[in-house]
Amino acid sequence: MIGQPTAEEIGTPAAGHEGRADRPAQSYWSESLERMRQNRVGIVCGYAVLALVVIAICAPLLAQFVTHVTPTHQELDSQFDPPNAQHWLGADEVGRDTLTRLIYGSQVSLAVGFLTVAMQLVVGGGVGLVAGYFGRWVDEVLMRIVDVVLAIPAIFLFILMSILFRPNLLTLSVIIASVGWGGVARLVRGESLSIRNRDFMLATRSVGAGSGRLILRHLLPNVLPIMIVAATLNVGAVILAEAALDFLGLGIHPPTASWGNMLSNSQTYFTHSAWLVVFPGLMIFLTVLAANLFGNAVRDAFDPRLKS
Amino acid sequence: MIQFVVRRAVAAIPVVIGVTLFTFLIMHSTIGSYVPGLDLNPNLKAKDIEQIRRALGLERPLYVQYLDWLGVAFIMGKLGLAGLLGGWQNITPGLLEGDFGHSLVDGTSVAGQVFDRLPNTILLTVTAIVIGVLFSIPLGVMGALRRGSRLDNLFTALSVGGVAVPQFWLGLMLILLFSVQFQAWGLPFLPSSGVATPFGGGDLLDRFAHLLMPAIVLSFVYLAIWSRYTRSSMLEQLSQDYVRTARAKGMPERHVTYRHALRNALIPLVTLVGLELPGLVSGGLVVEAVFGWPGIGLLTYQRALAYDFTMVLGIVTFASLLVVAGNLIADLLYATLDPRIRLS
Repeated sequence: MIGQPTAEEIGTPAAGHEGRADRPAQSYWSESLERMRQNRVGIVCGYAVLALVVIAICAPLLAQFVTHVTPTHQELDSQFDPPNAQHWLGADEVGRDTLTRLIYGSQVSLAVGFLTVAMQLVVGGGVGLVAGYFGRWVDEVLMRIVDVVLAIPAIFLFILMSILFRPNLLTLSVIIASVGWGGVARLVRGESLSIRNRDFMLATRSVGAGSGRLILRHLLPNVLPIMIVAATLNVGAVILAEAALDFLGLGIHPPTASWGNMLSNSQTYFTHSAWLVVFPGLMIFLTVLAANLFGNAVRDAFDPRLKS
Repeated sequence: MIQFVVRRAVAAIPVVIGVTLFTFLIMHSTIGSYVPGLDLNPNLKAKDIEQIRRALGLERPLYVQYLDWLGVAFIMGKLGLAGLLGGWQNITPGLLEGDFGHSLVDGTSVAGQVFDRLPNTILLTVTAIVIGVLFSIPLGVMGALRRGSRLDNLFTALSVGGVAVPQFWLGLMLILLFSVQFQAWGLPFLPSSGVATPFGGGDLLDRFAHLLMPAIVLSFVYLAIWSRYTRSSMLEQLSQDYVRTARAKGMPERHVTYRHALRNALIPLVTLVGLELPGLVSGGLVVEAVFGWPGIGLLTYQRALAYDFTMVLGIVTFASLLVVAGNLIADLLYATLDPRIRLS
């Protein structure tokens, strides 16, 4: 099921087991994975993203054996070639092969997407856990910082940072993550606050566990599901933001191929060579679509808050 | 209610301080020496540099510079509290005096530029939000009433696609179709950029034609998200006891749907629309860039490409303060609509 799940839809798999009292006890993870497997759209999208990752990693091989050109190879006699046998998706203003550049562009999008989300998780998760666990003034201070980060309009902050540091893959990820961690922190903090006061936390503390152990061994595993859900749901948005920055000329710069800068480059020629604009945009759209649908499936299967 | 307003306003103060401190520190660390390379100019003696720095107030402690930039120092001076500044002078006009700084490139004032373009930006985003609301509610209600039907599935697919489509690409595609191809086919076509035709244009119809495409592109995401929320919120309301009661006592179905369920279902939507209030100024940056719409987004973008730090920082400060104000207004809006919020 796509989109907002209702309690009814979520409850279905469990209801199927209801009659069997002898059902073996399942861990949360295996139960969730089982639920995940039943979501066909989500699984297909997951494999699509995986396929793209493989393509991105194998980019040099594909360029050598399939398209036979490097992403920066220029052929002046195939300028503005429409899609044909030699250039399957056409060629740009200096005769660079669009398909090859798209393949290399996927490296940028995916690398920034995953790196950014990883950073958001580490920073946002860390801040959220600490704020939620310690509460009181620690919580107050950290959450005010989050408020400030979220008050500055994201796109303005991206632009500001982009002119301060000319971005490469890594700095671009840091720039985008510097905004997104706030949302993760709020989420994790809320969940930590509710878990902190459960009996098992008190029991663990009473046998002498310190704060560090309590946070890492007992609190973290309990907030991990919502962190994973938030992360998978964020990948699409991050890829979109990265492409927008590239498109504006404030992200990854040419000659490195990225979907965003291919689009902004071909903007000039799109009246006579529409395919130069169509394909990079289509790649962004399909990738984000797959990532989002996979994210939805992960949320439906793993989000503990939906099980009620 | 008054207590709620005050509590919210007080909670916003640390955020304002944080935001301004953040931009101040960035400004200080990038252009703190005011003219980059001042120290490297062989024609300037050490004494002259010292004099310039003093004239600009850069030798003062950081906190005084911050207070000065905020405009607090100015107000303290007015109130006769200047002594608290430790004898340091208030030199530059500050934020509270309505001065957000000047461009590093052409010296124009940030506030002036921003207010010149604010109407354009507001026009664009408000139109997009109105389009979003007008279309998302019927779509959501239809989806909920015919849940699982082909129509519902189509709406679902559209909204999933609407969130994933890059705005700048959608914009380019629309330009390609409605401006370029329509012109090539000899059909009436839409203008691809600006707010009005430069010469001879500017009447209402012309402005509307210019507004149409960017507003539609911008409204796409709103439409996608809000129609989903209306749908699920409507479904939730329709399964409530009061709906059953209303049906049980024989109320016509239309009455139940529109007078009872829909009204309650719209409360979360108000929250969502309210969430866009802070984005009123910044939300359309990419769209403004694609359609050459002379709003604040395009201004920021053009100034960023010119490395006009002071202008960009001024706009960021201004926009962030607007976000804080927007959040406050949104909070008050919910509190008025939903008594549970202000009482808790």
